[in-house]
Amino acid sequence: MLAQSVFTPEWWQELFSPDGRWLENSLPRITIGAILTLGLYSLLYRENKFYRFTEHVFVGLAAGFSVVALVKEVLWPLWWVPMLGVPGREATPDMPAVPGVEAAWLWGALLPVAALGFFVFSKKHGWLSRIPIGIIVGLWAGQQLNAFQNRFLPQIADQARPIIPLGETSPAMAVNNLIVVITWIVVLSYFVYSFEQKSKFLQRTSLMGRWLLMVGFGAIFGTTMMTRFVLFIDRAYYLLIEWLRLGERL
Amino acid sequence: MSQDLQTEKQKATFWETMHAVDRRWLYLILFVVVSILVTNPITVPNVEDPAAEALYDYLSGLEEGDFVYIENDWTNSTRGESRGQFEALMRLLMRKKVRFCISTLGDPQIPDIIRPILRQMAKEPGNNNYEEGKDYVIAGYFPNLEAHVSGLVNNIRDTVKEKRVGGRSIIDTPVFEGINDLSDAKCVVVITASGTINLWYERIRAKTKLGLMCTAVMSGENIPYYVSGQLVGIAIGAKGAFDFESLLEKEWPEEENPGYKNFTSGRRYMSPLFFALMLLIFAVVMGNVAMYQLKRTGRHG
Amino acid sequence: MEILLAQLTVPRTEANLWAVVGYAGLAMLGSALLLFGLSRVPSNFRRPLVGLFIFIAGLLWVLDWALPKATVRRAGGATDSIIPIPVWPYEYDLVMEKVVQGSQVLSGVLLGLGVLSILRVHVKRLTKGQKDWPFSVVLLGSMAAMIVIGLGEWVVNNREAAGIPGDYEDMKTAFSVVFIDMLQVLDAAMFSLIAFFILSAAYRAFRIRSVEATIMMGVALVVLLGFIPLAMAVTAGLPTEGFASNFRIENLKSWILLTVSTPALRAIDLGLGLGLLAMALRIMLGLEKGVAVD
Repeated sequence: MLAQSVFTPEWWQELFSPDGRWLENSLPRITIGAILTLGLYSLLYRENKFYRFTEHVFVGLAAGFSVVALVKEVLWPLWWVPMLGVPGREATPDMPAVPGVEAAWLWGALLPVAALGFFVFSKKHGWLSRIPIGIIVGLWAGQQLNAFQNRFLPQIADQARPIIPLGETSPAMAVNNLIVVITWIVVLSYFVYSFEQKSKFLQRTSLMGRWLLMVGFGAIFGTTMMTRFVLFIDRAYYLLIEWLRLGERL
Repeated sequence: MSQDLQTEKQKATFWETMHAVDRRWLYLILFVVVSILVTNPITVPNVEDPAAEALYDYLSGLEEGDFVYIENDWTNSTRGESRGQFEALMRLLMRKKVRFCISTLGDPQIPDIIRPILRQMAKEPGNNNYEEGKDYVIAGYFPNLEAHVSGLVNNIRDTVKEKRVGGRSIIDTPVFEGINDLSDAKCVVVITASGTINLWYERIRAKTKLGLMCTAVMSGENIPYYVSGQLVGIAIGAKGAFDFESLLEKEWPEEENPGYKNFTSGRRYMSPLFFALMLLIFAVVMGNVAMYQLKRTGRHG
Repeated sequence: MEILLAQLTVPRTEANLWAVVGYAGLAMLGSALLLFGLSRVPSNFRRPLVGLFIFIAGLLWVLDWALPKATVRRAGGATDSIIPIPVWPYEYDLVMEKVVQGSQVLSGVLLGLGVLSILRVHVKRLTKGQKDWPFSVVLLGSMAAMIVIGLGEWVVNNREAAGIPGDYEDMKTAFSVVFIDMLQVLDAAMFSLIAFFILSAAYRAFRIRSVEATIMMGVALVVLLGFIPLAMAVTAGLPTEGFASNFRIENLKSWILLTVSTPALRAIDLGLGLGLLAMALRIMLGLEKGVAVD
């Protein structure tokens, strides 16, 4: 387990060796990442300048990458190239032929519309930014009819289950189906706010609905814990195995 | 009697101390527990979740040359769960020689994260030297989620045609041969750590099967869609990755297939996860016992 | 529709680059003039104007949902050739393809607003010498480095794909270091901090004081353990079939998730869905305040 680990001279030699220093997964590169990770983790002890420094590096890199991705994944392939086109290329001994892309120059009209969004910083002309934002919101709104139908109608249909043990429905299945149906109705009844629930029956079903909701929330709570811990376990693997080499790699 | 009073006082002080323990001790205990298990993992046999097995069985039943569309929406922030799922899925599809196209809605970083992973995995024994532009393509990032999914469902070719590999459009590659509509795909698999799967529920119109590999935190809200049949299967969190790894091992045992790699982070992270969760349960119990004891002695925390 | 599209696209050659740039420039100018004209509308027309844009954008998708679709579409061999099917809504699909593409560009540019906002805050902090201005230098420096290296790597990849000879390794390595060993690592580490805070919260704040809290914690415990193979080993001695098998921890977990949690969360989801549908209709019809001009 400890061969080539941080407790051996080979580890330190590899760290400071100029050979292969910048190859992928090299120790010097992983060390950069490990130092930044420890910088963030220093917050667990207390707020400090090293943490603030690392935090600002992170935000800067993430913001910068958003710009890079915007250009190379969106503006170039979806706007610039369709607008100006690309001439085709004949085949050469080294490269295959590449068909041309026609220039749909009308895409040029989109840029001023998108640029209106930047008026959000202007007090006088801020309302103009509502145009591109409104277009995006309108496009979303228009899809909701289709979205509701496709997403929820199968869910509602699945709630209609046989609760009487006849034919293919075994007694165990009937009991489970009854629980499913009752749970759904009772939880829905908890959210009825249109009138005051005065009758004892409604109040009791509402209380049961609240308890059954807690079952759902408990499931979400439990699985949330799992996700959060796995994220840390993965970082521990990175620091202890990939960086310090205190165990066998995956 | 004074002895009882003294014992009572000591207990109260003990529970007061327990109640007010510095959180940094808890952090240290968690770090030590996880470190021990990460460096010395315990391997246990797995009982696969039926929902994950359903997804695996469907994908494993695909034939050579079939096409699968993959929506890949995780970044390194959920690497612990999502990367294991992604790698297991890729191994299965590569070994089955299934063509696939990967696009992403969640984060512009994703194409640059998965490219080196796929290049490395393609070299593994059994993965058939998969090549970008020939066996699979990466369609890249699309920022407008709703429009992209609607576009894929209505006209898959025109939605991704602007993306290029090796100087040509991805729809001109062998990967998209014979794929004219989303219904020509055998399945859409969404690997996600966010709510992008909802876009597929809302728009897919039963054109093809839908499968989901998600983080555990999302399982509660997505299991109903598996129950209603809108999902062909669902692999949940690190356990889902472990389920896929176990099923890969059943289909291609490492002993009989030298060099094959079936287990990665899914199995590795199970034992540290168990002990971390035991620590969490212990913390909840101790916290409540401390509160109860302090109430009993009249010292409210 | 096909003829109209043919006039709006120009075959590209090496020789007509500037002509195409000219056409695109004209389109930009025309659009800018039109929008300039719209910006001069009296203030009482602003809300209806924005509302009109919202309504038309929504109507496009409503029509896409409502109009019957050609059930089969076949594409020809080349990238843009489509064999038409003589059903008139088919042409509407062409409109929607362009709408989808345009909305991607629009969304992408609007994402840039966030970056601009960060720039404004930190440049102001730097120029006015406000508190913590050195950290703003760090942030702006990191952003600039990522933009230069990221775009440099993209250009280098394009040149390599085009067969232009050159030494590209340094730029590729620089991007790899900044992206994989810095940005990705920081991204993962930031989210992993939550695990510690959850443990601390579990000890200090998770108090079982009521029936609801007891139910929630009990279910969370069963679901947690039902996902972990080591925990499954505890009840592995129970039979795999018959009534007693229901008490195996993984079966208990499955039963809770499929039979009780599913309908409960489904009910919440349905309520949310109805609310979203109502809000979407209100937005499209201009009834929702705060979406168009206030």
